[in-house]
Amino acid sequence: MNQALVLIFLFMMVGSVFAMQIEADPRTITSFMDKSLTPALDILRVTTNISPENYLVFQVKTRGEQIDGKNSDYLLLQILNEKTFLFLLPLNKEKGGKILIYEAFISPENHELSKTSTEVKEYHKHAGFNARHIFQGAEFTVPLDWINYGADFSFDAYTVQASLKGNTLVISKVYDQARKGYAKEKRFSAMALLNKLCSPKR
Amino acid sequence: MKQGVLKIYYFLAVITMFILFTQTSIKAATVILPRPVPLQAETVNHLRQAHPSENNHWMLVMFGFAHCKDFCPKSLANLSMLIEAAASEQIKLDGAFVTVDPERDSNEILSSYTKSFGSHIGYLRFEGEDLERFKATFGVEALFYTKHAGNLKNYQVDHSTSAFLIDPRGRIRVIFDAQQDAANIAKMFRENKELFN
Repeated sequence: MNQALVLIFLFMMVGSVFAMQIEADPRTITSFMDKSLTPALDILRVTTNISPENYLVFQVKTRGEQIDGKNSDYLLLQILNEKTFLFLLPLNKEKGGKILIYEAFISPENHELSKTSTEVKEYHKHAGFNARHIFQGAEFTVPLDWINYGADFSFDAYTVQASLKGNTLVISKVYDQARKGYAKEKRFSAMALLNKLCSPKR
Repeated sequence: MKQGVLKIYYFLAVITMFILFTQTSIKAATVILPRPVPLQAETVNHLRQAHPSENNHWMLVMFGFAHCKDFCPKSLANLSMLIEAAASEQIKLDGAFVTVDPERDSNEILSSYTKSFGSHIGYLRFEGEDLERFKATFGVEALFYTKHAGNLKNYQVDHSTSAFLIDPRGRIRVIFDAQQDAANIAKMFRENKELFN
């Protein structure tokens, strides 16, 4: 009987700990697994961290690895920082690690990316962005001084099939979205994220 | 039978260790902001209330509550150590402790609590919307556990342990974990003089 009670207590503790992480942590997005997708297209989680060089690092992990494949498949990181920015890295590792950065003309109020055409402008105004493939995923790096700490901030990651036609980014397929299945997009201040990253234990 | 019980306890111990390990393995970070973050005039004025006669000093700000038994005393002891470390490098630095629990933390309690960590640590007490705005400026969260009509005295508050180093112009320059990273900041006082000129 006592053992059963201990077990129940432990499961409650585990449940509450993970529920807190999923629902209330601005640092991470825990994505639902979708086994109908090719492993490399299935986003498992997005985590943030501060690098020793003082950069904000977004790590996107997928369920599998894609060495080659379609050239038009991308891992897309979307960041709301006053405006909406899109960071694209080819999923195909053989294609290299060149990062494409666009400012997207999407309303910040409703900026969820969908299977659509989005008017974009290549973004060169700030240096220091980077991206690289890692095992089963990618890391995107943005400079801390690019962020507006007084404004709302949010991020999401997608796997997409996309192409650029003039000033239009044509997203012909959204395979997966990290926040897919979440009731409402989470907005928080960039300062709240930084605060959490500086003192992860409360 | 006894062996079976032992196995269960062993299993539970492993699970508990796993939970504890995964929760504490996230590292804290000290961030020196490449572009200082200016605070609004209202916030700067509020901060100066902690030390009204010291407008040209740097300030270390942390949030907590006087009934806190573990994190806050250690963080305030670290702040006190940092103020001494700054003084030995000719950096004028004061501390401000902002209560996230004004219902229990009266001015009298806060005054006596902060004084026990040294005369250079003042306190700030806001209520209602003022407190929410102040917390939001610094991205601070506070979660109240087991606080209800029947328990208004012995509840626990979970809050962020970040501290903010603010320059005399009212700009956030460094954010760090007051629990873990105080030694980094003391080192910064010694080795990063240009930040304080």
